[in-house]
Amino acid sequence: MLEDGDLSVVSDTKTIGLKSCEGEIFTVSFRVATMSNTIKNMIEDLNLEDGIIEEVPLKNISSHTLKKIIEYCEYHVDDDPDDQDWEFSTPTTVSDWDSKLIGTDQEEIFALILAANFLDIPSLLDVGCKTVANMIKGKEPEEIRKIFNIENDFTPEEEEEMRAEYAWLKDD
Amino acid sequence: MGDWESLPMELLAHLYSYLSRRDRLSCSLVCSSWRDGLDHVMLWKTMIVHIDTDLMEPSTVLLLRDYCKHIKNLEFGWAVPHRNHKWTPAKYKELTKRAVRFFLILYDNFTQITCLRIFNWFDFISFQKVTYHLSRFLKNQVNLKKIIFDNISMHSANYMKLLTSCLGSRSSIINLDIRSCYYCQSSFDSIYFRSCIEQLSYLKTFKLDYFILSCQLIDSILTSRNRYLENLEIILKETSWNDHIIDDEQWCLLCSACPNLKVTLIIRNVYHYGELRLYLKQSIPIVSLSLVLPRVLDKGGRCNFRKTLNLLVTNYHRTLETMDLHIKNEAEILDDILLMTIRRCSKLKSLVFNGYLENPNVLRNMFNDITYFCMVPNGHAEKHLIFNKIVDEEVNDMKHKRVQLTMLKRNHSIICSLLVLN
Repeated sequence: MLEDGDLSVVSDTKTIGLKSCEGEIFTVSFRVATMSNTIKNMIEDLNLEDGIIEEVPLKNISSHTLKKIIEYCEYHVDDDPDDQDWEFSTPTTVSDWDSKLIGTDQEEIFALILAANFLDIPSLLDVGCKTVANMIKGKEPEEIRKIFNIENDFTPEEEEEMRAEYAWLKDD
Repeated sequence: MGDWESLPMELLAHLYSYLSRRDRLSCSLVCSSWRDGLDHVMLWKTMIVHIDTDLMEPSTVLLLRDYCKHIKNLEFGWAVPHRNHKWTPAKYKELTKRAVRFFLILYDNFTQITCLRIFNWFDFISFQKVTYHLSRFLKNQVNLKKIIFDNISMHSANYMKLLTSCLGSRSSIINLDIRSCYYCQSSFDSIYFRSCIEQLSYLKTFKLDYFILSCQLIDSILTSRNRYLENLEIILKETSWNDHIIDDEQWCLLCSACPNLKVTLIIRNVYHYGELRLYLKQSIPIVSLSLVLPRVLDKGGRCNFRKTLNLLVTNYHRTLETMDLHIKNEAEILDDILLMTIRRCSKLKSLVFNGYLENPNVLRNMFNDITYFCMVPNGHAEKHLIFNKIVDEEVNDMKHKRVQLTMLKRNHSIICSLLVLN
């Protein structure tokens, strides 16, 4: 128990700079940064445990997204992975705090999901996917295309074939 | 701009995992890459189909054709069984048609599953067709490992058809679980059922209601030359035992044929403990006991209940590893039996007692050797308090209150927790 505490004190004083694609650098503690498995593995692989890391270039993540991710990680850094409110949450429930952070803008959510995937932050990826799933639930294909700005790329023949099947769906 | 068409397949699958089959169907019609994303094994590995709700939802059958190749665990049954659905004959006919179509697709695509669970099944006239198609699909299986029949009411002949059809993959079946199938009781006495069991030479786990277990059935297990049977879980309910008593000799034969055999005894809703003792033969290798006493017994009943518990500890103290007692009434005080269990059962690894303690001072004597003692007052898990000794005040607090006592043995230390429930 004590050893764990000591380690966290040490890693709190160490910092790491994360550089967005715009070149902006965000300085965060080791503990927050290592919620990303990608960064954690990088630090371990390169033996950078001591010392301050000036900047890690994240060329595919914008400042806006990175800011959100850091806010998420700082808020959740002390979460106990075993201690989740299973009782009151259905599989796709997103907490109020998380959903406020993620917002409803589909372009921002898209960037956030890709970044969470790249940085390998499983809990954030979950929250992102759940948010999108909630946006899709109960919607017709055409509505989904509209929400996410997706172009229908099926050929007329495929469309016809699917419409025949889909007619069956509307039977009830 | 968010380029959702280009979302990587793995992420699409992650997203789809939060969606129902109906929503997945809608997604498959959005664009071609979203359709391709549905072709992921994790999305279809376990398929649960509720006859009354899912079959009327067309996506169940529509998506099946493309993705049935991924199905490994199939669960099929009614969400709300035996409820008077007030459906018209036409609706039942439609349900039958769709269920038949479901199994036809699986059959035509040579779908191979490893786990089958049929639950809450009740037959109506036209549903015999479904049983036929389900059996036909099962006959083609070569890799079935686990079969669960849970709460099935079906004509005995149909039930046997279903059971025997699973035997196509007899050598792969390692787990068989048949419970709450009272309606089909007669089929378990039949020679067909026994010949099924005789084929299962690699069965490792067998869970069943006591009424299914008989001397003849044990003979069938012996005939199967199965040496791998490890877990035999027997569920005893008030209605589930009939006359057949399996004698010590039979149990000894089974134990020597299957050297790793461990028996779990589950006692639920039994009110008449008088005759139960006749079934508790000394040579049953009982390692695990779980008992729920739901309501107050009469005077004679209480006496028999205590005698039964005494006998359980006396007979099985050499083998008992886990014991779970759930006493739902205040009248039954088992302080002495708990004490006896802890003292006599040398292999005991886990004891969970949910009930009332007459004299919590007993705990002091019980826990002489205990390394950790943790008491959780008022059921608030975050207020963990660790006591090396129990103080008088706390002991008084526990009087006439419902408690949950948990004792776990790990390596050389015993960890104990006491939770005051109300």
